[in-house]
Amino acid sequence: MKTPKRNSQPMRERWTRSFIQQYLRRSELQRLALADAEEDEPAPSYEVADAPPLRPRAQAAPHDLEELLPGQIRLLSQPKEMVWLLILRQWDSGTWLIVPFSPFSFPATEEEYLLGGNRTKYLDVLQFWNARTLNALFLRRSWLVSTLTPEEMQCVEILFDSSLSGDAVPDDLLANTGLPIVSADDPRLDYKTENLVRFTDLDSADLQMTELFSIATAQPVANVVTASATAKPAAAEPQKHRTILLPKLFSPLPMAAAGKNEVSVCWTAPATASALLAQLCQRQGRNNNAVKMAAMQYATWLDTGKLPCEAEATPVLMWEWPDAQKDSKGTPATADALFFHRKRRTLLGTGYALRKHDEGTIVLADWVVEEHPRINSPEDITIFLTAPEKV
Amino acid sequence: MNQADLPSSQRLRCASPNALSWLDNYFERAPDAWNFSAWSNREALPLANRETIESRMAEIAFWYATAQLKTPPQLPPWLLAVKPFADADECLNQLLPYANGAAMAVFPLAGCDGRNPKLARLYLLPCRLTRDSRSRLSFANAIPKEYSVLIVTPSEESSDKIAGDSWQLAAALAQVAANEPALRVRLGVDWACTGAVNSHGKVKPVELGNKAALATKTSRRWLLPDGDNIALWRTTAASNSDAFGVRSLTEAATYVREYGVVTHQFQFPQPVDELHVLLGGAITPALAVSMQIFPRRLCLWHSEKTRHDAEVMQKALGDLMKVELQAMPSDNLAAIEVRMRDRLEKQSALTRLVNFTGGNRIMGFGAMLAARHCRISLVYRDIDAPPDQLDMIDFADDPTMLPRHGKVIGNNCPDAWRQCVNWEMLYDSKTRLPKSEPPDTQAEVERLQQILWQEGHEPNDINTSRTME
Repeated sequence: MKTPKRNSQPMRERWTRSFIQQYLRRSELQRLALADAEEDEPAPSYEVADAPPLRPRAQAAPHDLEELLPGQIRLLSQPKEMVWLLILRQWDSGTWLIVPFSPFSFPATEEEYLLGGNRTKYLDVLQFWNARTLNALFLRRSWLVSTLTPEEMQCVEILFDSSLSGDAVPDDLLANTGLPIVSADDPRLDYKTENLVRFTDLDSADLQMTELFSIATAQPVANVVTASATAKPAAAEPQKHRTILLPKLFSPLPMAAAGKNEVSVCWTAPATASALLAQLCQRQGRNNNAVKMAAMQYATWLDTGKLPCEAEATPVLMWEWPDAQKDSKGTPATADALFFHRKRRTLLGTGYALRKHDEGTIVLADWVVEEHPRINSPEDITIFLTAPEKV
Repeated sequence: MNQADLPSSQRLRCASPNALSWLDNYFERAPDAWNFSAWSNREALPLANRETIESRMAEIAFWYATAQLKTPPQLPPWLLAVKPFADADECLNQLLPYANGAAMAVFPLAGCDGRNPKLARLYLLPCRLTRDSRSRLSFANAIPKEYSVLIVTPSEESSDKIAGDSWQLAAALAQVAANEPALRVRLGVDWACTGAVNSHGKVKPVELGNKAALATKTSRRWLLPDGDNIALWRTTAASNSDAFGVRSLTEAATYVREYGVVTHQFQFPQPVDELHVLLGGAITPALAVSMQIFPRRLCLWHSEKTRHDAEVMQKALGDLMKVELQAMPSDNLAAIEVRMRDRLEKQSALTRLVNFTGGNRIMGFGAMLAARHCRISLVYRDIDAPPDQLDMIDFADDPTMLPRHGKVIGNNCPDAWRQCVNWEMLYDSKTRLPKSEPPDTQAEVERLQQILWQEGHEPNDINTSRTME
């Protein structure tokens, strides 16, 4: 981003100074707190063997799985620290470009922008230098906090495009950025390092997921037989019949189900999407010819329009969630979802399953391929419902 | 969820960004048992494009009231305050009283500058609103002053001016449906129409542009101006598109009213080289049609049971026309069709006609299949039909499409014979040929001639003149 000296300079100097003060003050407080903790006597240990397990005082609000939109501010659920981000735009099939918010209320460098907006201090500054893509499967597991106004979004778009193209930034926008780092001992370099660390685990999981997607979209996954994870061993034969073999994962619909309704086979896997994909992408061999599944059901397709026969058509597709898990308190039950082309056995997309108000829906929301094999009927799609990804 | 049910607000949010197109699909279905309580939770609606989605929901409620002639049950209160139409200032609650006399028709908008064509909905309301879509239409003076017209176009073009006059057929049909409530669902759900309409109700050609591309996007049937427009459509649109050419508003309304199967104006077939007649238990109707058509050659298709009747009829006709007897089974559809096809194809250069009034149902069905294969017209004399009237069916345009059906009146019987034939007896459904027991061919021939001729036998003077010829 070009930063010519203009009328905005005094303002930018002020922001940068304020940021450094704020950062150093917080670093000092953190250092003191850490020193105090080391000097403290070790905490007395209590006998907890008979104590009841700790229960959360309040249940977390359900993730806002539906509707990823540019301009949304979301709180991620995966990192250990609270990470708020702005969804800037869809980047690629199934991935979104996000811009994290700085924990400080002043822009640190020329690649940070003071958004303002009177939301709250930790939603004031956008870290363009920390922008990254994130898989929708991770991004949907977040909470919607706020949405940028169209005017704010326009400013953000201009700034981001300038950072890519190197074009000059309008002076009024430049006034809300910091000054560039020119010295190697600038404390802002430490700040940047600390903020990158917040994403280390998520980046690693996201990369692994992307690699699995590229394998599963390019070549057929193994059509392994399935084993019921819920089957219990018989008392008399503890080592035998530990699993019950079920049909192959990508078998066609049995005659009894075919033609009755527009349905797809829907497996519920007791694993995360990445774990299941890793299993399916392995070559079928002696030791991995069975994948554990909790249940197989038929999900009825919801006729939202024509099926995407054409290779480029990637609309949102939906099914009834036949038997959504619902706890006694009536809170929404959710699952992540993978969608495969049954005959080709290649990954088509990801999505989620959601039950709200006694209505369960499975949604193919994010296609991970730009062109897909022909889909003539819902039977051509096999669904896997998985546990939420962990980082 | 039944596929016909309205989607809940929550599901619409899940469907985002396709929620609007999902709602648009509901205009392609009959508004039967829509439960509007599915939309009670306004907060759960999609965040993207929410205002447009709410308008579309209000429009769906208005369309329900228009088609079902009643206020939609369980309407969420918030929806009543939503404006269904961008071109009108009134909210749903203010428009609902006019729904009873309103109608909706769908017409295509060609896409300019590389844009795709779209379907637009045109509503005609029996009231004058403070503001409507007239300002967006060219040639809007065709709309009666006592009506308001409201057009819903795809959101991105909602304020665009609509060039041309191709919307006029939709408006004219909407006016017909406004006065004929039974037509409203069919017009709104099953049809899309394009064409200009002049003050005499004639449908005039229009610029089609890239509208034919819509044929694959909708299952609606199409009404287009007859002539060049329909011809062009058939060459450019998908082959499975049901499109009909119309010359007048009356014809267009008839298509909508009769589900696209309209009476075709056939010419009475004349002259006919070969008439193929199925012979069942009753000889007189077969004889009546044979005399009326008066072919050069009559081919009598009989079963084992009716062989004797065929012989009686052959002898009764004498030298009036060449008569050929053809046997066919009465209980084997495939054999009937194959045998008849073979015979029909032998004389493909001749003008042929099949009369399937007689015979049992399997014979009739087999004859129809054979006639369809050979593109030959069929005739049928209804038991209560007036004299000289026949029902005529053909597959001349395309055997995979609906048959054309119409009534024809005429008589090819030469004047000299016509005056001597006892038509009253022949056409009377009560006329029966008394059968002899045991069968006595000569006696039955004489009785049949008594039915056929006014004098009870073929007139001598005609016989004389024929001998001289």
